[in-house]
Amino acid sequence: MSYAKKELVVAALLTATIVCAVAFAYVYATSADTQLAAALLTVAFGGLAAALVVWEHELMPRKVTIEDRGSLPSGADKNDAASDEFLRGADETVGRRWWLVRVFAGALGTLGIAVLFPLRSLAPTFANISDLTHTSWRRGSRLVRADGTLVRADDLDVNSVVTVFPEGHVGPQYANDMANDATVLVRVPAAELHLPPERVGWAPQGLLAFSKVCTHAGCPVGLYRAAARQLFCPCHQSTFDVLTGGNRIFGPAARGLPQLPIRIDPDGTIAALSDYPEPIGPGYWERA
Amino acid sequence: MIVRRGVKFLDDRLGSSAFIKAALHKVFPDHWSFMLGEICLYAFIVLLLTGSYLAFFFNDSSAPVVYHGPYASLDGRSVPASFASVMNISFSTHLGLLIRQMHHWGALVFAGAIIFHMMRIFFTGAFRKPREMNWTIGVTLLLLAMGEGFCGYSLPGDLLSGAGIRIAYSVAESIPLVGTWLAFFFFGGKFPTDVTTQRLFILHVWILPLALAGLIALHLGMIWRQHHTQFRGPKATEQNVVGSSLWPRYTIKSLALFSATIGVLALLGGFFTINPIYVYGPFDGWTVASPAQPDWYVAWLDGALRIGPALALHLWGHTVPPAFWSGILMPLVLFTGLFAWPEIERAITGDNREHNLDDMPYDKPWRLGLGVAVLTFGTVIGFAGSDDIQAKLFHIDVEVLMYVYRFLSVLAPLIFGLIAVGIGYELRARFESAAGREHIRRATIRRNTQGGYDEERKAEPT
Amino acid sequence: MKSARPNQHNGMAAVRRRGLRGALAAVVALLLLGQAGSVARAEDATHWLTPSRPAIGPGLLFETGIPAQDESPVFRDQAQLLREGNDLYGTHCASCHGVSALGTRGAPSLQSSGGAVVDFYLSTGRMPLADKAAVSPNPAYPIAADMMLGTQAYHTLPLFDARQSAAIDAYVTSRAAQSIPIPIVNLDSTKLQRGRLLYEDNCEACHGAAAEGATAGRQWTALPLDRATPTQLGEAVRIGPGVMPRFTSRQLSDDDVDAIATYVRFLATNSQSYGGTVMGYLGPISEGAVGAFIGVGFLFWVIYFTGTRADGRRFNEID
Repeated sequence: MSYAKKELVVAALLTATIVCAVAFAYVYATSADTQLAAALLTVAFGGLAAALVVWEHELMPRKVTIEDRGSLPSGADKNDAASDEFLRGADETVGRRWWLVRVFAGALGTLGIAVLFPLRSLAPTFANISDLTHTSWRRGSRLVRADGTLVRADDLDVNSVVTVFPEGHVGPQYANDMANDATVLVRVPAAELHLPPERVGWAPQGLLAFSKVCTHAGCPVGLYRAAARQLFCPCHQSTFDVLTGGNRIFGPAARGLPQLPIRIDPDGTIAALSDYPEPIGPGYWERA
Repeated sequence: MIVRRGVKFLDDRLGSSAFIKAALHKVFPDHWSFMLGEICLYAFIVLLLTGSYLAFFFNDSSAPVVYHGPYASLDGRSVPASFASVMNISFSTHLGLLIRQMHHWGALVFAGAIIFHMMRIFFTGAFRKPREMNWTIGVTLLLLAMGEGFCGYSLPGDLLSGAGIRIAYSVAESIPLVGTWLAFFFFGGKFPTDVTTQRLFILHVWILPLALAGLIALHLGMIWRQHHTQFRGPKATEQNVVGSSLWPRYTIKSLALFSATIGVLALLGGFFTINPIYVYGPFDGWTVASPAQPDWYVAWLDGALRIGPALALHLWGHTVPPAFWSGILMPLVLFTGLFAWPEIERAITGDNREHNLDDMPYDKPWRLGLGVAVLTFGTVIGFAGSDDIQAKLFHIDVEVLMYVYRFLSVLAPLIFGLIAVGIGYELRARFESAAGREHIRRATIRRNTQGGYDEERKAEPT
Repeated sequence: MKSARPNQHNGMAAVRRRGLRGALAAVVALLLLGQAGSVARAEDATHWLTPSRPAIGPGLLFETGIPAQDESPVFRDQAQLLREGNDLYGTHCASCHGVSALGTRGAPSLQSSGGAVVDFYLSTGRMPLADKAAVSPNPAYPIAADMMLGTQAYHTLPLFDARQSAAIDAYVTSRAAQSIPIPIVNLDSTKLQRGRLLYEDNCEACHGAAAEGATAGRQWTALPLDRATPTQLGEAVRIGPGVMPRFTSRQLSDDDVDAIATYVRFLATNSQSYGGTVMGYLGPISEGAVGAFIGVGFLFWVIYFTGTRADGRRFNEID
């Protein structure tokens, strides 16, 4: 290709850039179509890039430049001079007054630590580990759905599942609590239950309630394999067996899901017998 | 005329002419792999520009508001204010979606380019003296980039990133002794808190970008002072740099790359949906959609969490939960190794000389093998992070895949590392004999008491 | 003697003048074009910066020909229907589900499965099982009356048409003590928002945020929902096929089911690809693959062209 033709190629690419740039501005002002604008921008910048590459490759003579590095190390003399400069000044400052320097260091140190204290305000007013051990569930808390409607025992057949919260603790102002109070309520045939003896009374008519916060890393355990009676966490695939009281049967979780003891009241509503017997959610140092 | 007037103007005030002359004449090697770092730099610049634009429209509060806008299925829904602002950017601002997607794609390209750039530095030994400090800065930049990306995609307050924040909180919690305190401190209390988005926002638009920009400036400043390394070649020596001068050729090539980066990000930003928060919906704390993955540069951590052992240590009434091993210990070991690598290699080779000529990757086959092993490990656990998607697509039990990945995470690095070592030795032998450079083996020959000779061999690079 | 002053038609000053004029012209042209563009659209007449895209709503709910109102035919000749059902059942179903639909070791009893259950399994092609050899229930799980656990069935082409389906249904219903009626599901675009909320609370954990499906662990997959008709969606919700939970009408009213079906059909007919291809809603993993390999890969290509190879030669320089 002749030199003149190469120049024309560069000019054509740059013209494409100009046209697409103007068109882009027009598209922004009018339809603002995402794909069209993106295409124009791509051609505009791509054309510019291509033009520059062709310009450098084809229009400019190939030239290799060599530059001397020079030596980085300055040599012992300069090193000594630099160190001496510092040490001389230090000697003038300190002399024999090392004890004063120690006091100075003490002053800097304490001052440095002291000004960090306001950072404490970043932590909440009650940095309470007990925050982690309790939820809003209490003895007598009735189970409601996220919209506040009461759940009745006969709302659920075998294989049903619903996410429930303590009554009075739902709504936008309780959003943070709801994340930790979230409980999965399921019904299984009572004959299939294999609960530990102390928990037999926690599952009236085959209704069971488990914390929805996975004990591995805290994701909501939202998948319920109804016929298999297993809860499955989508984040890291921890699997919990409902029939044995939430035991972990697969996955990186080391503990089962805490079970919420519940009873069925005479009017058909369901209420908790107490808060969860153990902290919900992932493990942490202070947890036994 | 203008140029001469400008130079005089500056020189009268700054005495800059000598510097300008030297600067314009500075030589950069021409090999294509030396431009990988520039991809990172230009991706970062695009991130700064698009990010600044987005920051004007973003609302960092997680207080609930009612979304009203053209996106019908969420119209009238109570969502966090941050979510509503990103919805408005996406659907009620001209080309807001394009800029938002360019920003997010920029982050993925930034992280990817850092990894590839790091690979070039590692496999060619460019981290050796005098460039160990720059390696340290580089690994720090990688960490900062991953953190910056995590903060960024967590800002909209959508369902997927909310799950990610929950997992990060649990991993922080899992640290022995100080975990709960740290988690309470950084996130502002028990999860979820009202201040998380606000804090991530400050980290994302101020603290981390400041750290990134400062370290990048230092990174470039050191390269300026020390000059680039270069590959061996006909004219290249340890005392010179062969390539193109900054002006005019390298400037033009660099501008071309900058323009190409913007073009590629525009292409991705307009034609490939990324982080469709309008599909995920707002964060609510008690639901999560399946499947759940983080951005790719964090996917290796998620994969490690999936395949990690379900092992909780109970010590004197305290617990070290399973999230600790995968989420804290393994990355700690990995990054300690990365940071310490120049020292480790110095201890192994005993080589404390200044190196301005790069190795070819096969020049140190054991280093090649180790690097390949680490990359393989990262890739395997990265793939493990999407094992549930693979289970759905290929009709394999996800439980089986988990065991397969556990197995592979140990075996694959070993196998591929050893293969790489073998290939390295082969290539080295072939290329060096072809170049007429033999790998010098120094032998010390001693006369022994029986009257014969003992030969002690020691391999040394040329 | 030539004047020292630059020629007024050439030289830097003239270039600057021409440049300024050109820029001014371009800006004016832009403004005019912008005005022209906005005038062309009536709804934009108020302000040229008003987004002109139509609201991203359920405009295309019914485009695939799936009727908003369920139109399953009603067959009145019950006696003839029962006879046909008897024959069909004997041919296709009895070998596994046994005489009188009482069930065998290989398949559950259909005793309370008339109505929605039969219609769902037959119309989605889940039954008859394509892979009869897979009929070996996992002894770890008891077989409940209305589900099949041994294998994951997929939504395929049904074997039976509406009449045959109704016939088998009639036969099974005649043996059943109780059955779930086939729900009537009506799509209603005013219920889109509520449908989305209900879908998120009850369905997306298994079926994905965009109803694209996801694994439910082991051999089970919560399937993508784009192939299901509104009736099939309603049936699945009520019966809980496979390992899917069941939602009674006390939990999700018929109105709620209509809303959910509306949102699911909306997702099926409106790809959320405003920012470009959604890559199957695979999420950050596909994004990572595209970004790290296509994005960086493309830039690799660029730097390969601008740089030299190891031997110092450019890509287009031959020896």
